[in-house]
Amino acid sequence: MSRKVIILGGGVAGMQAAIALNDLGTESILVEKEPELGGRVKNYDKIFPFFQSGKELVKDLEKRVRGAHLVEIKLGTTVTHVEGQPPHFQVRLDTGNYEISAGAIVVATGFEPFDASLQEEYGYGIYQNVITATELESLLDPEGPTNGELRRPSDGKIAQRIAIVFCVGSRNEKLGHNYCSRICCSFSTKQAIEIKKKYPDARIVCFYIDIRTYGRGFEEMYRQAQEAGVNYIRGRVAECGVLPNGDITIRVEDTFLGKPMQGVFDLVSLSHGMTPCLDAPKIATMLGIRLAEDGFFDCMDKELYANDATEDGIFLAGAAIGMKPIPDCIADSNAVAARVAAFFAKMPKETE
Amino acid sequence: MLPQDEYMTRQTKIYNAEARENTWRRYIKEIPDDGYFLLPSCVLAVGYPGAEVMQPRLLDILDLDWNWNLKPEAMCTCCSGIAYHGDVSTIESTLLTTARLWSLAQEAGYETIAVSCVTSFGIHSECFDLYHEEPGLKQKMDKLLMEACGRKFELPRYIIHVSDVIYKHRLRLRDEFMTYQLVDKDSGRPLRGVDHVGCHYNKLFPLERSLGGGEYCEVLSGLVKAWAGKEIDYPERRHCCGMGFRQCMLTPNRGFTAACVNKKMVSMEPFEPDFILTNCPGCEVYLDKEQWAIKELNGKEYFIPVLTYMELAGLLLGWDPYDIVGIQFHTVPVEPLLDKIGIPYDESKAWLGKDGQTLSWIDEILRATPAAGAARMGETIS
Repeated sequence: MSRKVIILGGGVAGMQAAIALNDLGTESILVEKEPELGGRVKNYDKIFPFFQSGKELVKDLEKRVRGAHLVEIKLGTTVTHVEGQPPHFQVRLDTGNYEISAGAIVVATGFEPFDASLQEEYGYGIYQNVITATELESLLDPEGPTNGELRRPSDGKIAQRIAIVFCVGSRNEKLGHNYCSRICCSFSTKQAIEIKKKYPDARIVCFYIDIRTYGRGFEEMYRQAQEAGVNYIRGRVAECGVLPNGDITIRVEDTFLGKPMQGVFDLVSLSHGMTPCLDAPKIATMLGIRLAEDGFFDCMDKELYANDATEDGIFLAGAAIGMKPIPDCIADSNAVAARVAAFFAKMPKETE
Repeated sequence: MLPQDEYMTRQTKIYNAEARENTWRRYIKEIPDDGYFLLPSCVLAVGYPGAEVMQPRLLDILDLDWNWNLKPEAMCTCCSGIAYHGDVSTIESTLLTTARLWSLAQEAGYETIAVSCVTSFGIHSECFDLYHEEPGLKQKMDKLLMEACGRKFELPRYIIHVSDVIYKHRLRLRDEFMTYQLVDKDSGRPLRGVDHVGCHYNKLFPLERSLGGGEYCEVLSGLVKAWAGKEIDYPERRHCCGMGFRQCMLTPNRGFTAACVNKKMVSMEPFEPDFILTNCPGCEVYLDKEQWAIKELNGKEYFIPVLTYMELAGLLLGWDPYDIVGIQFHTVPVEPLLDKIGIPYDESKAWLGKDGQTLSWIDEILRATPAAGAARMGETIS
């Protein structure tokens, strides 16, 4: 039996899983389809709730994973075929005509941002000054296309009136996404604070259904935003429109006042939810494991074995099993390393 | 600020027309090529007779198979939508009414119901869907229809709106029959069209029955673009005209209708539209008439011509604006639009009787019916 572990996905969850396995003395191969490690976090200038640098976090993890002597990294590589029963998996990659023996597989394939153009009433993709939270993150990045200045796409004007629409593509039965994406409230609140810090006179209005800032330090960050002057209005935005000068109109009901209202903004950011990674169905078929109703990978037992896939020897970490903030992804990866160690430990000696 | 002509019509830094095209294409619906059984509206021809009278003429030039049953003995009725939405009749009565109309179509050998009213479109669609939602409903209605009038019926294969038909044949109309295009004859500027799709066309069954979906419905803007005009998107594009049966039928609520139209006018005015295009009889009435009311109320004269898709087609086909299209029935004068396109007209022939007879009493009638005549005659009613 091989005690090597194949890890699918080189984002923060995948890297941490490799590091944790290395610490336990277990060999792993970290397979990442992109040419560099870091997944989506490598693009985040600041992460919530403590405004640390996402890029620095990735650099730190990468340094540690590259220094781990039991980890082999394969970039620009995809797993194409898996056969055999645990702990005798035979894994084929698209970069070599050979098979790798593996005792376990870790799926850490992350998420895909919701395609905001599918929530058509907001005109994303059509109205150029309606952008996503991911695009706003890029605008706020000093190394980004506007050198960190909040210049709107249509005319490069500094945006002073900013609307942030929460729950775009989340908690939406019509779109088939009933789940809460969990991180978007905090992600967008963090961005609102960043804008206020840079542009104290900016008027920022967040339109929300509920604010779900549940993690350690999250609620404090939400309070910080309100104290900085960010307005929160409870009401789901009905639609966006565009004016001849590129300004965006918003129609919404303030459900506390029980009144419809309209507003005009320079820029609208859609706090989009997340969906399972696009390859999830393909990977599930290849590994013979199930997806849950929400499209993320299903667990052996949602209470007791949340990091075990529906088949033995296959484990799940990070956003592959549903959205979660970075600290939870890291905790997931450590848990997975422990589950892999336990799995190997209970293998009968004759199988080795 | 960009020049007006650049709004909404190509990919700009404000508006991505290509993305808008990709959005509506998510919702393509099947419109049969031929074989339409027409069910007229109960109000369209009252307010704008040309809009409905032109239907047979237009389908005939396209050499399409169509029929309707207007024989008095057939008793082709209204869909009873006004009663249904006004809460004065039951759903069973409405189901019975539509079942009877479907039986008339089937008797004539047609599987496609083509209605010219958007309320009717919603009513027929809702009834059709109910048969798929409620087990046993068909058997119940079979029995009731037989008891009521001795008829049998089956569910039609298609329920469409006549604007779907015109959309289906829009390019053929343009290429083979149209004399004019939606272009300013002097400057060559494409004319800017605001579409106003009736709520019961694209909001009741936005995914299944609205061509282009609920948000970026294409059934009218597709005509504007096909006929060389430019589509205008504006913030209150999807806002209801305010008709609503509870408003238009109850006098104390009528201010709501004017307010809704005013809201739309305020929103669309900065985009300088040349005309408004509708596919709903109610929207046509209220967008047209309330512009006069708004002028009376606050002095603001928008006077953006409002046309049905059928009237627009008729004008571009070169049909007589008064004798066939019937623009004299509009409150907001359509003649300025004709001037832009270069369509000739003779205002002295606007109100002729049968066989070109002069009607001596017409001025008196126009003066006595403010909404129909005041704006046209440039007068304010005191």
